[in-house]
Parts: sequence; structure tokens; C-alpha cells
Amino acid sequence: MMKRGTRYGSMMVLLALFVCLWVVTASADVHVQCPGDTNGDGISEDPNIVCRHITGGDGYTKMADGLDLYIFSFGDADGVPVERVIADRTLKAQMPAPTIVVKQGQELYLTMTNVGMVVRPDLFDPHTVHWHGFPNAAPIFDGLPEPSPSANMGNSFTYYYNAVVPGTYFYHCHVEAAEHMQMGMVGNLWVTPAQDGQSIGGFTKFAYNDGDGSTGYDVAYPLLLTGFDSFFHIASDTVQALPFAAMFDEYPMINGRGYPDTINPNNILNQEGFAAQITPTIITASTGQRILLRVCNISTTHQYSFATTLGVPMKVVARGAALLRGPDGKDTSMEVNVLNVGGGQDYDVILDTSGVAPGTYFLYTTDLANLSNGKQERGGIMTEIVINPL
Amino acid sequence: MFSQKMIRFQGFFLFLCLLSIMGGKAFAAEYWVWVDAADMTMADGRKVPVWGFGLDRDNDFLTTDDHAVSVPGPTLRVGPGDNSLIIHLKNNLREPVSLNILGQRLTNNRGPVWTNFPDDTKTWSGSRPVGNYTARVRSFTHETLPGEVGEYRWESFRSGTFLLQSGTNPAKQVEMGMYLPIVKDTSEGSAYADVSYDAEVVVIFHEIDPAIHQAIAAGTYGAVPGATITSSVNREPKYFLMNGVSYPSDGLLPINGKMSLLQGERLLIRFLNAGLETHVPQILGLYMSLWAEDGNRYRYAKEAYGFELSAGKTVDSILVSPMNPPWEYPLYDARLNLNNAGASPGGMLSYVKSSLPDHR
Amino acid sequence: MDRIGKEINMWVVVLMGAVPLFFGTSAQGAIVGETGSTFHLMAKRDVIVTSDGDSFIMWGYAIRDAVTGKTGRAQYPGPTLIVTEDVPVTITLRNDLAPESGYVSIVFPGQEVTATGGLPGLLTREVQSAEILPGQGYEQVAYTFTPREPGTYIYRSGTRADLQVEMGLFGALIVRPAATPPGGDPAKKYAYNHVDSQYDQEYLYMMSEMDPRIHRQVEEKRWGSIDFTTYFPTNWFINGRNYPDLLAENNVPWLPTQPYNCQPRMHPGEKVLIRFIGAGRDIHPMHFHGNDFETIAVDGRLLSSGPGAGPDLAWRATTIKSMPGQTADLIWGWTGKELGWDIYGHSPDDPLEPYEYAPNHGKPFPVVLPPRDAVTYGAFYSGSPFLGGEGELPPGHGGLNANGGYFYMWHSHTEKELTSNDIWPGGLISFMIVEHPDVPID
Repeated sequence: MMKRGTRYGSMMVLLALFVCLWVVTASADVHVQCPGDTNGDGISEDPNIVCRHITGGDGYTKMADGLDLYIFSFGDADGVPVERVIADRTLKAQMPAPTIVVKQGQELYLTMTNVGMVVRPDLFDPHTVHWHGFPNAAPIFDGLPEPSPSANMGNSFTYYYNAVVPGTYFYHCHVEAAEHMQMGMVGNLWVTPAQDGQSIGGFTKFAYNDGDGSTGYDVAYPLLLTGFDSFFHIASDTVQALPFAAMFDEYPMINGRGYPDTINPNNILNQEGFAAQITPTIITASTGQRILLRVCNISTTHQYSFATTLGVPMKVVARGAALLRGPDGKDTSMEVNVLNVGGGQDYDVILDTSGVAPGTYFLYTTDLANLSNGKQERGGIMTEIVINPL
Repeated sequence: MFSQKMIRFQGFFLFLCLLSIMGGKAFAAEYWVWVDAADMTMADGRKVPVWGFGLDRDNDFLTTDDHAVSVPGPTLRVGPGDNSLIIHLKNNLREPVSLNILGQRLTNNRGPVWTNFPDDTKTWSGSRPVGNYTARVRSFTHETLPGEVGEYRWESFRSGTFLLQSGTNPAKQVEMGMYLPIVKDTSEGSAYADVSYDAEVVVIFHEIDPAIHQAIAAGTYGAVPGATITSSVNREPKYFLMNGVSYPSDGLLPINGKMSLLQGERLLIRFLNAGLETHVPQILGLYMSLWAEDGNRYRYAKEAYGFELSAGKTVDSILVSPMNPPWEYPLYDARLNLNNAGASPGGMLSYVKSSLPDHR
Repeated sequence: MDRIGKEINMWVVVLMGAVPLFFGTSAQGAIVGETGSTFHLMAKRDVIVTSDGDSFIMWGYAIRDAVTGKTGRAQYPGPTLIVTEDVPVTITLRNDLAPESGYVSIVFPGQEVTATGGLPGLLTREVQSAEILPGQGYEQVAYTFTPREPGTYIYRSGTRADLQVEMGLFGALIVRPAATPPGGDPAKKYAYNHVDSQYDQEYLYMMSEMDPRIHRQVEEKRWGSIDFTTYFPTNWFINGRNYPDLLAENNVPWLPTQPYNCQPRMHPGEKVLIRFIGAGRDIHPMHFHGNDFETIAVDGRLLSSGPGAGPDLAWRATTIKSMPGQTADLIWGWTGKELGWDIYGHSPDDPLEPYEYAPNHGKPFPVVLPPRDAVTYGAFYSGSPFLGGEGELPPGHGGLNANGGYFYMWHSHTEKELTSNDIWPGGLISFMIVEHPDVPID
């Protein structure tokens, strides 16, 4: 919601300058830019170019205690003909947003079409995409609305990224960040390293160009931690004033779900019957395998600590999409049992299951009050790690 | 009971003899531990119901009333030569319990245990029932039912400082007080390789939300009919403790008792956070060397006067005595939880002290 | 698209009138504060204003002039004290708060302090209110220490710290190196005794928060109602101000008790030192758009494998949590390298700018930007995607970025903290401006 508070006294000067710069004119122009796309399917013939098309709009998700909550987020519009995007893809926001993966060295043309908020026709919010952690970013593609143009309803903006730095990132809308991020506009994003495919230390998949296989893994899972404040979402749904000052996430989640929905391998359907939550978090590996967790926290109110019951340390090999190596190459990776993740932080964590007996283990928040789905206990930030025999 | 067996090699023959008896429970630290309900008195006099661990006096669980439980529970020591830790757990509560040590592998795990939440009328052990995505875990490890004794074994026990907690509905049972520290040195007087110490103190940060404790004790917590508090998501602790007491309790000041540390001597402070939120232990007037986190030795020590101690985390630090006694430095939570249910001064404030030795 | 002439800039400056924002901040890329080795402070009560138009009672340290005896107004945060390594420091403290507000004191985490005078307190020696001793003038407590290492430090009240830090009794302590580090350049600035701590500009990021209820209770003397177990802040501050007040200059007359701003600026290729301090009781994860930083020190100690090794254990990221009572030093830089297009909008025969990434020189802009009516232009958009560029702006747009700088939001990623008591935007938002190499930053 575009809410502008009243300011008093000498602040009116600054107010006059900042307010009403959101010049908005209605215009409908859905436009996908994808160099090398010769047949209009949204896929480039150039193997070095990745094109993605996402929508920015609204939708619903279902909490693990059955509560339906109104959300804003991005949805999937890959390959959808431009003339069908607004007709077919409104009210289809996903939580988390579609996962974006590119290879180091590829160029990403990410088109975001603002399809508007169906449930709130009174809102005219623009949306943006901020690639969190992109090195040496330029504001035009940084997704920060203050120093850039952001797409109005019914319009598209194509972001361009030259993905030269591998690592675990995430993306989110940055328009009125406190509101749009609380409402759920967040998604997983990572860049795979050029080293992938080489055989080093028994691995062919790596989180980074480590040169020695130290970030090699067998299976990988995103772990997007966040939370919803149900009062805020209900206020948005029912056109009430938004409670920013009282904001408090009481539905903590991993990849958009609270336990036990985190371990459900199927899609979770929302109240419209649409599969808004399509990212399960059940972690599966064979004993001896190395699991890579791509962890981030995008809660607007909480930091979360987590641990596993595997009995082996979590090896943090990178943070902020940077390998944990000092300026002259010293190994600064960390071995911990408990990792705290603040908002905006991302980590690459390797679990080496050598010697772990087959069975089911748990990844859970040690801020134990967040093992809740609102007023329902035994939920929240928890998932299961199933270790199978070899 | 402490079990410290040092291996002395006095010849190949003796070595072979020792080898032959090294199987099974030899070289294990073994403890008999109760969990029971008790009342704990806060620094302002308020009584709060808790569930705590305590050591059985005779290691047999036969005599009643021969255990005292505390929150935090007693520090259990695993000797440098002990390969395993065995805990026999007697459950005096009215609901199942289990044990979980963050960072150690439970070797005889027959759990986890899932239930058909919220009714909890059916349980499944070992693995989730196939195709069932609504069952919820109740215990990370095998359960010890009310009135029974359970055995928990951790083999290849790693050295360091570790936190043992209940593995059953942790938001409830850990809040209620089921936690204790476990320490193991790499060798006599050495917490880790090349981290020697002359004196040692364990410092546990934790908090208590008395409203949740009352509800748990009254059976009105959780997904039960008539519950007054159905989840702890809005937890609001009122008491902030170090080693079970808050300032100005006698037992807290100073945190290391009447220790006498001469200049240059090394005090090992084992920090644990058994609470449910982050604390920032800070010492005033000195720097500490942080050597390990969660029982994992750092490659390089960190010089700091404070650090982040997340819920469930342990940090080992060395404080070098700057001079001969007497000296004293405040040690407190830099997050300023310095009250007892709102009343000041209180909370997480203590001192590290070196006292003149008594010459009597 | 190159920059248009400077005449338009001046015209905009005139229009802006009494609100100088980005044109010649007096910060000079250095931190404003009190430099010396002896300081006289007085704890006083005053008022601060927040960007949602509210005002709160505040307790702050004020500078007392020992010669004239005059004391300035309390300030939030307290004065940034800038001292030199190995030079003994003396800080005296007197108490002008009402007696029921309690004694006051100062603790200096990381320093070995000798306190004299006053009365013994729980953490250090404290001084009681002057009003308790009618006719006897002010009591005084003195703190002396010799900083052994350069770096960034904090000072906070040591008396009923939960209340007094909340009320505003804290400040930054900066220790400058005694000499140029081995192999260093005397003309350059260093944070520590190692060449790898070199920086071109430095900025203070001191994070704090307030729960308005506590301040109302103090104002109304409802001491018994103060309860930190229900603490719930709704205002957040960088260097004592919320956004957008922190964009204004240092020492603006309309923020008399909040003298420090937060407006970092730099040119591509420069190194910016961020002195990052957790002054309050909450943890704030600060996220830096534009590029990652390198954390070189924590609590005034380089992240180092051993003496002389420098910050060889430094780590890079774009987000770092402020820890209450702790400090960190970050080095941030930006060149726009490897973006895949020419950030200046050059044609290939234009000359290279300093630190420009040559392989991208002359490369065309990769997408077509939507037409003006399809987008909303942000307040700091120059109208052009290029550094130093300018473009047509819609009518009514304030043109707040006449230099065509690149704005990066440096903000808390606990986004609730980007509000001031329910008002968006506010709180922990700041902007780093990377200016075109030709734009002066004095």
C-alpha cells in the first residue's frame, strides 16, 4: 500500500520534495526482452543467455495450521505469450517466488511484469526485482525504486545481469520494502561456478570455484527462512491500515512453509486451488554424501538460529556469496553446531554425512519459540533430513 | 560420578591387556540422571515451577528423594580418555522425555518419535509413516516414558563444551529447564589442542518466562483442551539468569567463586546459551581470546571483549589473569537484560574475580 | 548521455533553498567529533525529534568547556571522541540530571580504565546529580585510560545501563594510529597499524533504537512502570537520526540535539571505512547495496592470524549484524566492473575514467528501458542509467540527483526497522552516493 505519513514542522520541506515523485500513469505494455530468442518462446538460442519472465502481483498461501494468508509475490510467466500474461497470470503469486539459477558467465535477462494486485484494486504499487548481493551493481538494475525507474501496473521491466560471481544469493521486491517483503515478495537465486563439471576430490558439483573441492556437494537444497505477521497480511487483505510498528512474524517458515508442511513433497494448494507453495524442504541424502544448504533469511522482524540433530558440525564455507577465504587465501571457513542468520544474510553450509547412521534427523531453529505456526505449537522452522543407507 | 581413566603404557604386554578390555563400556563416562519437577526461586522471591536434571546420589534410582534437580542441571564431565558418554535417565515427569546433545551423535538412537498431532494418541518410532505428511515429531531421539529409565549412549564423544537439552517438544521442555552442560578436555588441563588452562568456569545464559512455566506445570500449555498458552511464539521472558541465578543473588557473585588467579594464569570460561534468544556476553576492562565455538576449535584465536552467543551455542574463551589478586572485572549481557521482572538492578550481571587466598 | 553543464546544478541548488542535501556536505569524508585527549562531559536531559514528527525526552552527554564553564546541549549520540593511540585520555563526567534519574557513569569496553571520584557503582564509579548537593556545585568522576590499539570503540553508561543507554547515554570513541604503519604513505589515512587498513573516506554507522513508552514514562516520572521485559522499539536511529533526517548536514539548526548525519559519498575506486557500532540493545543486520564490504576488524582488533599479519582473516559479505556493545570496521569499494555495459554511456573513442573497467568500455546498454509513463521514477533517479548522466524527468520530479550519482541504499534488513513509529519510510535507511569522478566531494 502506498502510504505516506504526515510530517510536521520543518520536515515539510523535505516532505514536499520526496512525496509525489511517484508519478504514475496507467499504461499497459507487457514486453519481454530476450536476445537470441528467435521463435518467441522466451528461451534464447544463445547458450550464454538465460531469459526468465516473472510476474509481480498478489496471491494467497496456506499456513501449516490451515490459515490462509494474502500475499504479494512474484509468479511464473516463463514462455507465456505477452498478450496472455495479464489475463492468465494474475493472483498467481508463488511463495517463495520462482527459483532463478544461472551459470557463472551467463547473462540473465530477467523480465518482471507488474500484473497488479487483483484483491486490492485500490493499490497502484510498482514492483521491482533486487538481486541481493550482486557485486558492483548499478542502480538501474538494482531494483531499488528510489534511484531507478520501477515498473507500474501492467508494464514490464527487463533487468540485465552479467553473472560473473558464483554463489548463493536471493531476490526480492524493494518497493516499500517493509511492506512488500513482509507480504512475501522473496525468492531463491544462485549462480553455479565455472568449476562445475570438473572432477575434484570426488565431486563434480561445487558451490564456489574453490580449486580444491572443499565446497563440493552431492545434493543441494535452498533454505529460505522468513516469517509472516498474520495481522499484517489480514489487514492488507481487508483494506485496513497496515500495522508497521506492531510488525512481528509469528508464522516462521522455511521456503514458504511451516512444519510439517516443510516435509511434504507435494505442492501446497492455496484457497484458490492454486499451487502457490511449490518448494518442499525435505532433505534427502545417502550416508556419506555431502549436502549443500543455501541458506538465507528474509524475515522483516526476526533473526533465526538453527541447528541439526545429525551430530556432525555444519561447515560454513561461504557467506554473502563469497568463499570464506582471507585476502591471501587463508581458510576462514567455520564449523558450528548453531548458525544464526540475520535478515539479509546468506550462507553456504555443507553437511558431511560420513559416519552418520541412516535415519531421520532434524534441522530446526534453536530460537525455540519459533517452532510455532502462530498459536499452534510443534511447527515453524523445522524440517527433516532423511539419511538413506548407501 | 566421574570416570577418569588415564591410560599408562607400561610395556607392550600391559598394552595388550588393556586392549583386550577396551571394548564395551570401558573408558566411558557414565551418569545416573533424574528429571523431575521442582520450584525455583527467582531473585525477586517469586517461585516458578521448573523441570530440571539432577544426579542420583547412589547411581541406582532405587532410593526415593535422593536427588535434587536444578536449572541448569549439573555439569557432566567426560574424561579426556573416555570414548563414550552414557546417561541413564529416570523420568519423574508425567510426559515422555528424551535427550539431545547439540553436536554429538547419539549412538543407540531408537527414535525419532512422531505423533498424530494434536491428539497424540498414536506414535511412530524410527521413521515417519510412509505417505503421512501430517504427523509431527515429538522427540528427536528415543523416548523415556514417565516412571521409566532410559539409556542414552554417545560414542566417539568429541572434546569441547556442549549443551545437552531435552529432545522432546523442545519449545516446551527446554523452556521448562531441561538443559545442562557437558565438557570434555582433549587432555588433562587442555580444553583443545594447545588450549591449556589453569582454572575453569562454566557460564550459562538462560531466561525464564514464568507465564509459560505456570501453564506447563498446570497442564494448560500446548495443543490441549483448555490451554491458556497454545504455543510459545509470543514468549516474553521476565527473568534473565547466569548459572541459575540473577543479580544480586549470592550464588552469582562472582561467577567464578573464590578463585585465586596469579598474573599470567589462564582462566577457561566455557560460555553456553541454554536460553531461547541471543545474548552478547561482554567483559569490561579486558580482552578475551575466543578459541572455540560449539566444541570446534578455531584455526586462529579471536581477540574480543564480547561476542554473539546464539541460542544453543557454546563458546570457549581464555582470560589471562592480568595481575596477581585481587582483581575483578564485570561480566554481563551487552544486550542489557539487567532486570528481574522489570526491577533494576538485576538480570545477567556478574563478575570474574581473582581473590586473595585465605591464609587460615 | 553525458552530463549537462553545471548551470542547471546551481539552479537546482538555489531552488532547494534551506535544505542542502548532497551538494558539499561538511563531512569531508571524515568523522565529525571532538579531537583531543581530555574531555569534559555533562549528563543532561533534552529532547530529540524523530522523522515521524514526534519528540522524545533524551538523556545525553554534553560537552562542557572547562575554561568558560559553559555546557552545550546534550546530544544524541554523545560526542564522538577522537583520540590517539598511546596518548593518555582523561574524561570527566558531571551529572545534571534530576536526582530521581539516578547516578551516571561511563564504561569503555575494550579499554583498561582507572576511575576516580564519585561513588562506587556496579560497573564503574558513578557521579550523583548536582541537585543532591545543594550549594556544593557539581561532583565529578574522572576516567583515565591509555588506548593501546587504534580502532573503533564505544562508550556507554555503566549505571542502570538498560535505561540509560535507551535514553541516549552512549557515544563513539575513535583511536587514531600514533604513526604511519610500516610501508605506509604519510599522506594517506589508516585505521590500524597496517597498510591494509588504508581508507579514503570514513563514516560512522552507530545503530540504536527507542521504545517511545520508556521515554514517556521517564518524562512523566512513572519510574515504577519502566519494564524492559516488554521492550518493543518502534524508532531506529543511525548516528542519532532517523531517515530522512540523517541525509541533512551535520549540525543543522533544526536538529540541535542530533548533530551527526549519515551521508556517505565516494568516487569509483576509493576505499570507504565504515565504523560500525551497535550502541543499543538490539541486533541490526545492515545490508549494503552496490557491492560487498570487507570486515577487517572487530572490537578494535584486526581480524588477524598473528601480529603483523594485518587483516588476513577478513571476510566479505553484503550484510553484517551490529552487535550490542560491539564494534566492527568495514572497508567498502565500488568500481562497476564486469557489469557488461559501459556505466558512463561512453562511445568507444571516449577516454577512460579512473578505475573504469576497460573491457566494458563502449559496450552498449543491454536493454531498452520502458517509456516514461510505464514506470515510476524514484526521487533519486537522475533520468539516466549512466554514472554522472542526466535525463528528462517528469514534471514535478524534484531532480534530487543533479550530479547523476549512483545511489545505494545502506539499510537494516530487518525491514520493520525502516519505519519511524508506523511511518514508512523512516528508521534505518541511508544512501551511499557513488559520484562521477568529476564531482567534487569536499
